[in-house]
Amino acid sequence: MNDRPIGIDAMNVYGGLARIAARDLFAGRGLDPERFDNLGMAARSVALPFEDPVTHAVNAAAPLLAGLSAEDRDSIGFLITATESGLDYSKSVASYVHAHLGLSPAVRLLEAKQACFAATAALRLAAGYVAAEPGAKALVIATDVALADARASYAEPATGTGAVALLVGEEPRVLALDPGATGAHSFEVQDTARPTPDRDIADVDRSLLAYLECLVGAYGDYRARVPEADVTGTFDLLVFHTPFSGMVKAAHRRLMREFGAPDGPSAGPADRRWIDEDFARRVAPSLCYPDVVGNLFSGSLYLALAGAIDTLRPQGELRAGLFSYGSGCSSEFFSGVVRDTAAGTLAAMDIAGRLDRRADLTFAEYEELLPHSTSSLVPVADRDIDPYAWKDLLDRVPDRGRLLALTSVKDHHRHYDWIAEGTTAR
Amino acid sequence: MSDTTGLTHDEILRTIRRHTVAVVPEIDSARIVPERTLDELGCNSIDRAEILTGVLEELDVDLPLEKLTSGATVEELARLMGEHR
Repeated sequence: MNDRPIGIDAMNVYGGLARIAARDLFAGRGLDPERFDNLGMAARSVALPFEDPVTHAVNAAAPLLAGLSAEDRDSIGFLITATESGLDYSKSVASYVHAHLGLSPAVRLLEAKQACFAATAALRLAAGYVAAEPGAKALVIATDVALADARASYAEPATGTGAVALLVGEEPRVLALDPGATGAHSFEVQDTARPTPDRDIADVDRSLLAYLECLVGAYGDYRARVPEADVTGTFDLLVFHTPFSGMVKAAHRRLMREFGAPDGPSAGPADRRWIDEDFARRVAPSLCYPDVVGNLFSGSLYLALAGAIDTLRPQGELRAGLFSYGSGCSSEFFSGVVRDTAAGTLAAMDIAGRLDRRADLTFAEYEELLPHSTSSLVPVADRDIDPYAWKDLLDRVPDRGRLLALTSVKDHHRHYDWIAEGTTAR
Repeated sequence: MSDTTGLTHDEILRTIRRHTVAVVPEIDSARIVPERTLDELGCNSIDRAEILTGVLEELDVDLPLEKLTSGATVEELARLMGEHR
């Protein structure tokens, strides 16, 4: 073991190439507009027909690796993909991702699954690996394709697609994990699940309850291990798994009422005002990306972290408390220090710019694209996909850079090609 | 009153009322009658989750989440909590 800080050295978000405004989706589906504010969503990312969990992962990680020296790239000894959109019972998404990222063969590959918690479990594994192998780095990629359509009701406008790549190493530039400062809470519950590749099931009430129960349990465990922690004063920033902003607002209120507010659960309006002010200061900065991408499954917490850093652009160090929850269910509350180098490191990825340049879909275009997301996840022996059939849409995304696309499946083996910018014309 | 089983049904109902008003201050506590569901009282799914976790924590009730369904009335919720205390 070494005593050098370990954590997230660099990170990038891939939020897709297209989006639909939540208001257009509400109107198209005839959802109750009174519930719009409660959801707190502006847009959801939508996958194109040549995108799948592999392309999302590679398109998130490739720009991040492009900034590394050959030596740093070759020091990546562990690649973990975290997904609930797995493509095979045996072969990992990581195996395809490894092939297209051009990483060294001297690397371990793994796919992790625990709904929206998997990336945090993978980050723990990666940090443990880095601690045991001085000089080594690990790459964790949370990647998912949503199935949410009309069946998902109000969850549809809140569900995103995409990937978040985290480079984990020593002397991290983005987030240094506080050693030993972590609490966990897990138990079996059927709140949401994906029993087949093309079907999500969800009990919304049960899932929200499980999330809040886990938050209280995991923070309680954290505080037992870090007795000096004070939820109102220790953390400059609080970042939560963000299925939608309304959930995070409820989670923050619950945490403050249970552990922070002077008068406990029976506190009145004055207490509520204080909690709202605290939310605006310490939590709201993390919501800017989730609000325009949607729930990024296990990448959601890290999408929120990226948003907070890009919004605040901290000049000095900030202590962050982070809560990760995955249905089923498993959760962790942990803390770390957002480094003074975080803002500059993230700015190089231009996450906001790329999210902003996504093509705006009409509801009709959206409905045409939606079934393809499901098709990308359902196993078939043979299939051809022509990315150039979507040239008009691709051409609506300026400066999209080089992207990996799914082009065929032959005897269950997936094949991918790079689409370079400006080469969509055949 | 025994410290493990002594909480009366009325006390559980009062606790549910208090948490409901804390989470949704706009609700008149007089409207929170046992026959109503939290949904009927104007609590959305997030409100319901906040209210129920708050009550469960305060009463130290270990209620399996599988038992809770969104259509339960305040009376049914109180009875479930009483049974699992």
